[in-house]
Amino acid sequence: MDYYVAWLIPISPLIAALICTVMAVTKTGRNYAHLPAWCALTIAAAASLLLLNRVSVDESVSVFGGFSWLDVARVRVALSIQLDAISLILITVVTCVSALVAFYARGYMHNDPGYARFFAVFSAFVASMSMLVLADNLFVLYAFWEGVGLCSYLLIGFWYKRPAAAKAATKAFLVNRIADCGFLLGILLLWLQVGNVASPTQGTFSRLDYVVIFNSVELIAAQNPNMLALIGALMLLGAVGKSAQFPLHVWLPDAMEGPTPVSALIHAATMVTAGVFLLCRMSPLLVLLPDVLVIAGWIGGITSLLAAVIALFQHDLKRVLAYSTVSQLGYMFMAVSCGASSNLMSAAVMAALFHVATHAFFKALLFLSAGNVMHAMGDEIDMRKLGGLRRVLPTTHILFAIGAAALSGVPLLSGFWSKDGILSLLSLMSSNDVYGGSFTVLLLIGYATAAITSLYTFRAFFRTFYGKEVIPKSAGSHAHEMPLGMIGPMVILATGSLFLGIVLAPTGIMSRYLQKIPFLVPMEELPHGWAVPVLSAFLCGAGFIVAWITTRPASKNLWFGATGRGFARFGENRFYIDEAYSFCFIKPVEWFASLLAAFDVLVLDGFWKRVSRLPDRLGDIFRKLQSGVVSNYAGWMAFGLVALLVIVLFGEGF
Amino acid sequence: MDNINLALAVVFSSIAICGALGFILCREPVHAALSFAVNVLSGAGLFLLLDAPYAAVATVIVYAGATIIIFLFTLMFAQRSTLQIYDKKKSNPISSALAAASLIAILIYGISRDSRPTDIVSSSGIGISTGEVNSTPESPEVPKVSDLGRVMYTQYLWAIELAGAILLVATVGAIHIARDDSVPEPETASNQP
Amino acid sequence: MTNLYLFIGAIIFGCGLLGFLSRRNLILMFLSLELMLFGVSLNFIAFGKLHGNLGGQTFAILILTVAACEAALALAMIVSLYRSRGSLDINVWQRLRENDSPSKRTDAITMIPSDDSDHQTENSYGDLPKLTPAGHDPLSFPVEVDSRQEPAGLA
Repeated sequence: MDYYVAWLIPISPLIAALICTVMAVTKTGRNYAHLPAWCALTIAAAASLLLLNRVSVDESVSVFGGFSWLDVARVRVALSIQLDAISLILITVVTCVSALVAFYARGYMHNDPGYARFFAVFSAFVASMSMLVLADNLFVLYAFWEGVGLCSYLLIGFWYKRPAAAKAATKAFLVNRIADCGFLLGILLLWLQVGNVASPTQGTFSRLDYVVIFNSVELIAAQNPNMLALIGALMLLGAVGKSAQFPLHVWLPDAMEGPTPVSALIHAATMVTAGVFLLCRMSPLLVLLPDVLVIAGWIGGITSLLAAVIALFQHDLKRVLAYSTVSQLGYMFMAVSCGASSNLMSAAVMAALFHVATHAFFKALLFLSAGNVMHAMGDEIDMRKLGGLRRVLPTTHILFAIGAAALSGVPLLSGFWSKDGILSLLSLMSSNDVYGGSFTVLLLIGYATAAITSLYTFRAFFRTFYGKEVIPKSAGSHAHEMPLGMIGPMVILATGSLFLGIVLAPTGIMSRYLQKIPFLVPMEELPHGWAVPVLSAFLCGAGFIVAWITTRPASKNLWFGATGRGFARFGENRFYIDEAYSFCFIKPVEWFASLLAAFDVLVLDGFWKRVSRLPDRLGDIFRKLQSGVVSNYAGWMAFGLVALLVIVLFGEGF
Repeated sequence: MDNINLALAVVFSSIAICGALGFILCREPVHAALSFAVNVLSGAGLFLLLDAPYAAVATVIVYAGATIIIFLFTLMFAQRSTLQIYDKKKSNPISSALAAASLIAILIYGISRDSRPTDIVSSSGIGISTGEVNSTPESPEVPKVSDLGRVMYTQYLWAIELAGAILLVATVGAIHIARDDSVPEPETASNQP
Repeated sequence: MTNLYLFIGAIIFGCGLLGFLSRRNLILMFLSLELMLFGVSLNFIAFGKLHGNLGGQTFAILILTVAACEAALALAMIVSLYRSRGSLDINVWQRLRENDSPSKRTDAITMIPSDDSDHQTENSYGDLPKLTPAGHDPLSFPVEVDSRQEPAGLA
């Protein structure tokens, strides 16, 4: 029974994607393209909720064999589904959030000429993401990792006629290439290493099955620790790219060029968490590599602080949320890095996944609220050009407030619990013998980020919904609240944002999942204390108050006055990281490319043009034979006859 | 006997080559055609020396008679009173001469390289027979015309019939090609109301 | 003294070839062909004598037949060609040449045009595709008026 239910999760969105593709291509019934997507995603969400129960079943890992792509001798390429605590938690989040966003997108995308295309790619994304999460094999994971990357590319560039969208799509794709290249290298190296230690009867392809990998990592670590560290670092690179961590974070804010439901689902809730998922998946490997984990922690810490500071100075509401996403993903990286102490690894994974889950809900909610604002304001999202919208968009105002509160960690909301889990782990690690110093700094970064998160979130909230009512001209006269079809899914997300934490964390459900994390030293429950939540609640309150004060119309100059102006401009320009990349990497490559182009034109082309002139010249010579004069033709025939006779008479020796 | 034959062969050969050279060298087309006739007639004499009287007579009739006469008629029909530039100026004289000379040289080399005894000047019989060319029984006699006819209508029947068919086709083709389309057919013209 | 006939045949064949290559008068070119055929038939008869059978003579007679056919067809063609151009110069017919190769007929242009040049000249084939000459880029080669077109009226 569970077998079929499990396979429903990836297959039903795939079928929906095919149906929507047919609709998009044949242009029949395009306005009903949401129906197959809705059905499929509802089925997938229901299936994953059904399966979530399995976590409490005794066996922590169950693999459902699927079908084999290829079966030649020892190469058996098979698609199978692995259900365990990690994949079940994430698949539930993915399918539920994507179903809700799909319901929302019906209203958001209606009348778009690419309506059917949107739902086709959307469903394809969910199918790929499901297989990514459910795969039992690292290579299958990689295949669908690229699959979600492709869907992300297609959806960022959904409005491909807009140059900015096309450019952003290309940027996302290229930046991810850097990371995926490393990831693939890591996979291949791992494949080689497992091949060295695995039993000779082990199938070639199934060497990358998680079970096989994790059974051989300790042997590899004993034989070839440096290689294992390299593999871990390459995997980390892949995760950094997909999850938009510093220094590869630049693609995610630009990815907001896509439709808002896409930003909510792919670039906030699900796909960007694939990097975190990868680290969790590979935790039995990474737990042997504390140094790599500490690097991951530093990357996460730097990213979360940097992105939070940049988010402070953004004027575009969606960009604030994008940088917030980057920052929160950094938080998740920090959480995973706490596995540097091996007995904490399962807790670290759990904390990261918990934050992934809660973040998916409240960030999707925030993005959809921003989408409402954008929709009502006629695609205007710059907070300098709008304001005081709480009367125009009353429901959205409340929903945004819920999301913002959850994000900034207002006590008892979901974000509070998950952030608390991470900060508790960090504080626990800060007293570690070996890595205590690093983690003390990371803990401080975590607190600072928490405060700044609260500050920028509420600043965005106040700037959008409070103050003098400003409605941009592009909104026209019909700025109105969204219909129920769009508000409904948001209410469910808001419910999740409000209660997910309190349902899971204090009731012990989390701990039950925690004990089922496979291949790791089990832990009874997440560490918690009193000091951390109190401090983070205090910081959240401080951020809220500062935000409220600085956004009052009367206190305009309080926000980075004359002295801080330079820093603010620095932040508005995103610390010039894009420009720095452009100068350090893109420009040199362009110069080098133009050098190569010159080489190509002058040397290679020059050479081959001369070579190609040879047949040209030969042709010119022989062309003269084509004189049209009968006598000449006959003469050539005569000479040919003579030559033939010469060959016949003198050619006997040859 | 041999000496007479040899002398005749040399005389006829000389005349034939002179005729051929005359054909090449004469500017006036009519002179060239007449040189051609001389060449063919002396060639017919060579045929006689080669015990081929039928071929000799046929050559005289067909070449020297029909062909030359018809060509001369055509020349008269197309020829202007004055010598045309295309008769005065040869095309590629040097390279043509080179091609022809080298061809003749290589042919003569090829013929003379063959060291087998091929003295066929004596008409007293057969010089040599490899015997594999065809299955005609070798006869010590000089073959008569009736022998030739027998061979042609038995062994080479298909070839001869084919030649007849080619003649017929050529006749039809020649009539078609030479027809002047600009002149309406008499009956077609009379049928017009 | 051996092979005299074969030598004579070869020389006559070579003379015929020389005539065909160097002559420009259509009629004489075809006569050259006849000369070549005659040289070949002399060879055949000599071979027949050599082998002591009548196959050579039979072949010579076949060649005679072919020569007669050829003469008939050639004369028909010459008459037809002469009608269209009013000249017996072989170089008048140069349609197969490349566009930029020299025309040989500068000296033949003084001929008297035939009366029916309107419907028998190359102009009636004007809709044939014009190919780019070999060795030229088809795109960059300028489309030019076919220089081979006959002047409409040669007065």
